[in-house]
Amino acid sequence: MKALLIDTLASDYAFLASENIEVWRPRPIEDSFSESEFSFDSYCHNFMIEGKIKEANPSVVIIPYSITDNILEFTGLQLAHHIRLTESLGDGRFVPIVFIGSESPYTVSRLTPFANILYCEGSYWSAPKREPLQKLISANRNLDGLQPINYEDFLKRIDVRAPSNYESHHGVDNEFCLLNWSKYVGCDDVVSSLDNSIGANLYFKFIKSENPFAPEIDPKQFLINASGTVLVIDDEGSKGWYAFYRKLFKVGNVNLECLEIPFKDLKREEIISAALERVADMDPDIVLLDLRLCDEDFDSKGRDDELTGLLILDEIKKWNRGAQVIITSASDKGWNYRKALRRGAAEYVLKTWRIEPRSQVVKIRDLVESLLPRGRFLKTIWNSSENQIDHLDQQRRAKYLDRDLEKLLSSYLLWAYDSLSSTESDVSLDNAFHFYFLILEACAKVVIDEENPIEVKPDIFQFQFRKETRYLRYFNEKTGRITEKEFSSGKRRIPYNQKFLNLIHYVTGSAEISKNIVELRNEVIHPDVITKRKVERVKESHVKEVFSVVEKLIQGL
Amino acid sequence: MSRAILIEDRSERQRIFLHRKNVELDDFDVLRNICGGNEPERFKTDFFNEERIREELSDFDVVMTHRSAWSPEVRMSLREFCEKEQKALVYFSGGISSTTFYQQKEYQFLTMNSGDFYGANLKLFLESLEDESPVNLRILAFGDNWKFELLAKLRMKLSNALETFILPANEEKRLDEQTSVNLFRTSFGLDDEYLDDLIFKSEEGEDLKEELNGIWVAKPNELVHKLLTVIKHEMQQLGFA
Repeated sequence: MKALLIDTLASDYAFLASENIEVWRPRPIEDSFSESEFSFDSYCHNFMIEGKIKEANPSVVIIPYSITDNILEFTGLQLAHHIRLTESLGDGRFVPIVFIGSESPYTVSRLTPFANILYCEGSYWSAPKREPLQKLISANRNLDGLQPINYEDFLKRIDVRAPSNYESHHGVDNEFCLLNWSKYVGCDDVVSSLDNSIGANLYFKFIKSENPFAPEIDPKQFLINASGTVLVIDDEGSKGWYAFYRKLFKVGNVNLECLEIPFKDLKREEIISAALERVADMDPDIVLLDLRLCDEDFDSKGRDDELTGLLILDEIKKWNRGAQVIITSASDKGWNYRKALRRGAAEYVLKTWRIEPRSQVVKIRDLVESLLPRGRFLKTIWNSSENQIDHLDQQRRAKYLDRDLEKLLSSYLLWAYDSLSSTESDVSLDNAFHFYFLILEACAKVVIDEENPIEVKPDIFQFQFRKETRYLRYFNEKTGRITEKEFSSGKRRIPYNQKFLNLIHYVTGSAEISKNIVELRNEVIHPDVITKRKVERVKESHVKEVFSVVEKLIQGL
Repeated sequence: MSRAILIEDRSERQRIFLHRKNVELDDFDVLRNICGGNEPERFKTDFFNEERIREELSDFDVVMTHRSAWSPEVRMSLREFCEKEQKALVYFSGGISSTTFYQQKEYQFLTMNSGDFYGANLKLFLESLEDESPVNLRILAFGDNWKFELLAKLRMKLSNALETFILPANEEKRLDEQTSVNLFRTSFGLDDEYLDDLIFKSEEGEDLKEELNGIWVAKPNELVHKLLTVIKHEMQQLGFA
């Protein structure tokens, strides 16, 4: 097996050919200039790695510092990196590489970070002259390649940097993250499309080699099984993220859409406006929102407060505070994380390959499965709360309602919502229930005329609803059932339970609902009185029940 | 009078890069910067017509543009136009991972990453245009090291010549000076003002020129060694041992 020397017209090393050295001159790079997406990486990968080198499987590769016209391009060093980092070469990756050039490795190391490879195991250097090269390659001497066991060490020694600007906003890192996540959910379309579009990129190969993928047996375990509506707002949506999400949501019953607009051609305001329009139209339970959506967002001197994603988050929260927003961003800046959460995002998922992909995909799955019902619930509550607050305002303006009462009820509605939306407390439902019951308490005097009891017999009083001249009924407090009897008392006030059982029954017409709510209220406020059974915790269904009473009550004011 | 035209459809990106790299394009009268507003769009429409390409670009020596702004057909037309008219063409894009420079006679073609394009080398390049120097895209590609690039390439060719004896050692005919110089240029690609000055116009170069004429037949390798010494000395001047 011969050593293979990569030659070019510019270097013209044909004179180095010998019995043990084959000199091969690939087609000139300028022949590829007519390709509309020409890049050195694709030229190198397609014509050298996947072509001659794979086919020849040489025992040694001899490479000039540069295999293009200009030495400072160091394309020979880049080719050597491609050899070491191309997985499909198998053991061919570890072949001994002899670099030839008139400059010493020291001089080269002052000119390019790619020179690190010159100092790695399996690398050799020779002046481009017959004698020293033959001495190095001579049949009597077997050059050692890179030992596979030392591959990790090799990866730490070389210096392959991300291109200073990639055509997408987020760079190769973003695409590698997408590739890994797609592999977990079995999104083969995205995997093969990325391999085609960016598989030749040297930096992509580097991070791929640094992070070998450990396949899971069953990608189905990562798919989301839920129902609801989800909107993806990501400028990379059309470049694979939307396809990834489609796969992720494939098994459930989620109406998934992606905002597909020409992000890079639009101004920030236009993106925000398009996003909001889509949100209002689709009414999503969850928005998966990227933070950096236009060129301005990548200005390091710009204000992070003004990141387009954060501004869209503000608008979504103005539209409906209940909609759940999960930030999915490659930005690992702590301040962006804090700002997003402070401004109402439910969670922040880092789109990065630097965090083990399995945990990130699982995080998204679990978040979405829990936030979809929560989003639906909170959206409904917020929507209705806003309507109630508007109604209270109108009633106050029409002088049907006292200003203090209007302010109090509006505050209770907002505090209840804040409690519900809080993820920091495990008693958020208890607190919300309590605030809603406070609304019932505050409204009771408006609905029930307790101030003017009717003395039906000496020292026996009955009470009427204000809007209807009928008396309050008597509830059996043990069974919670409403009786045929009208409520009467020897005192001029109504016992607490009787008052609220009547009030809720008045609003809903249901004795059962009255009983449930009043009982639960007493347990929440006075857990000490429950002795024979475990105190019941407030559930979402309880909150919905009391909230529906609140809605009807306020509308009736 | 503008010598170079820059057509960029992503104005915000240009602003950000220039701001980061502290480059102010407005400082350069030699540059016409087509960026922002409706102008890039107008060009996009116009360039579907080859005649319009000619009308818009014929006044410039250098055309620099964001590659992704154009369809594959327009990219091809631009390349063909520049090659035919011997104009320097620069394509920059985020999708280009490394710098590749190509020169064929007066036609120079450079592809580079956008992040590298909007940097200190652009400033150096525009300054060289303002100095009325010939268009030298190596400055844009390699910055201050562009001389090193030429020297290293010449050194490689001369070293290879020693190994291959391509010089006509057995040639008995004496060549006149001009023929020798021309032959030398053809063999080693010295068609560059900087190398020309270095080799032929320096004090040492004058001697070399004489020797080149005198010893061409008898001792070509000695001549090459002397040239290598000149190169080595120049490289040391540039900071490379």
